[in-house]
Amino acid sequence: MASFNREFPDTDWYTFRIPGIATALRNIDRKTVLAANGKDGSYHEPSSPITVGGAGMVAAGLWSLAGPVTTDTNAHIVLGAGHSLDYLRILAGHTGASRSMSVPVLPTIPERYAFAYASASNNFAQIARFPGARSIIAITPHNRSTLTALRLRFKTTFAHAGLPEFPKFRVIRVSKSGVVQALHTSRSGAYRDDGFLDLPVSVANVAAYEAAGARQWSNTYVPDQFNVIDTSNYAYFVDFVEEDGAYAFTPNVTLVPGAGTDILRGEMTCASITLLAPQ
Amino acid sequence: MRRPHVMPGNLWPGRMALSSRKLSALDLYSSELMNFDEGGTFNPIEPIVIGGAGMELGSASEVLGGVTTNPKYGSTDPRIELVDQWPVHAARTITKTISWANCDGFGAQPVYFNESGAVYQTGLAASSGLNIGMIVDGHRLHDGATLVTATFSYRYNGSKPTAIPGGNESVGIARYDRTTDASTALHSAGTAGGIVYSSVFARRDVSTVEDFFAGGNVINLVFTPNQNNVIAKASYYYGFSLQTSIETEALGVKLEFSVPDQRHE
Repeated sequence: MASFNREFPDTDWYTFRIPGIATALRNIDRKTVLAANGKDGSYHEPSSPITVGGAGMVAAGLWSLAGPVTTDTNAHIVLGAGHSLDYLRILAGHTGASRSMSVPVLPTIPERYAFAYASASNNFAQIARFPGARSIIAITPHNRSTLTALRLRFKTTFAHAGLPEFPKFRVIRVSKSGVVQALHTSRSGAYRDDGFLDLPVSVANVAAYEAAGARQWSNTYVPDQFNVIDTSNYAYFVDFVEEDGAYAFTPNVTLVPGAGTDILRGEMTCASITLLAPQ
Repeated sequence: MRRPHVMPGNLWPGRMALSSRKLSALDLYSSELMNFDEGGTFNPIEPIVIGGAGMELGSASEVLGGVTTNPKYGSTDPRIELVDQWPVHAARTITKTISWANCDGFGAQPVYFNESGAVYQTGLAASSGLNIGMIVDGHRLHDGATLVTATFSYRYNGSKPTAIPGGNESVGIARYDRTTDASTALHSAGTAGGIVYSSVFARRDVSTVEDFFAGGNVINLVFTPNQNNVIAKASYYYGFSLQTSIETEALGVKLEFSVPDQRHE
């Protein structure tokens, strides 16, 4: 790309018989130099803005905005109405193409009379009263994104005599007709039946599992199926099952919160976001 | 409308007499060119259509009349794509109401919900008040926005106490480090606007039991952060709490944000 070149320098123009013609031709030549080259393209740095009113301009090809564009008062950027997915788009690599979000773990939907209370560690958390108790935690992933990871923050609260059957969790979607589908295939890698994944990372022995009651991150659930979020047809949940077996915590049936796994919160990452669409 | 040549390029002779007609046409046509080096104001009768390799606007530009995209969707269809920025606008206020439906009672204090979604306790436990808290769903927080106020609405729905309870009342807002879970206050310690701030908590600065009880009517405690109040979800998560020591009905929390851009939320 280049701006037009002059055919001759100013000194080569000669005076015609018509008075002023040399100046006129020189000015015409100058105008063609200053104008945009609509055929080959050209590069310009205008000293004052180019204002196009009237019938405006149509960008039939690609327009690249290397500088910011500001709309005037009451002027809009209007997205075409021809398709339900006509929104501003986000290129891959934009920070907004992936979102990591906190996941509250309350309220819990108990499978049975087992979960109902915030924990004693803080009132953001939930805790079980019975081994093997199961609860459902609603999550709100970014619609049309790909759910790439979800993990839970937890701590153990019971002094175990041996390793129990570990608490486990999975991410599920539930259709409008009630069909439940795990977001990871069963018995694949570390995943067990029905797409469940053991909660703890450290499982070598009781001390590792309990980590002296410190807060731990769970294994990361990495969906490998049904992971493109579609909130128009599905609701999404974490399906959590408490530890169980001979060495599980002692049930606590009083009004005091139980002695099970203290689930504090979760985090999930929604990636491959391509649209700036309402959520 | 594209202008024709004054004379087709292949018909220009090596030597010719300049006609005033051709020069006049050249003068007219060139006067209609857009001056891209010095700028100018143009009002074309028909739209200027630029296809081909398109255009690049290398510096700040202004769209006075608005922009409309062609209504289609597909990988090669007209669209506006954001590379690394968000559409920004003048700071605007958005308000979100948070229900306590995402909370639960602390420790041995179970809570219940009435038909309006408010949180309360029943029976013997009611007299011990509420101790509830929740994490705000990350999906509901606008990253980069400034939390201007958080209005906690609640009322004391039992009998008026004979004195301000020792436990008084306490609302809390905090941001929590996503790695360490450490909390940070959104207001410095002290009294401002009739609110006493301490650590992550706040309470009304009342001196009489009448003012404290407020006739059993709805109390709106307005927490006005003065620090750490720009939402930064990459590093923090955010939580709210309400603690009282007499029978209480917790209604909800209204969050008012100043939003500088148009993100996902």
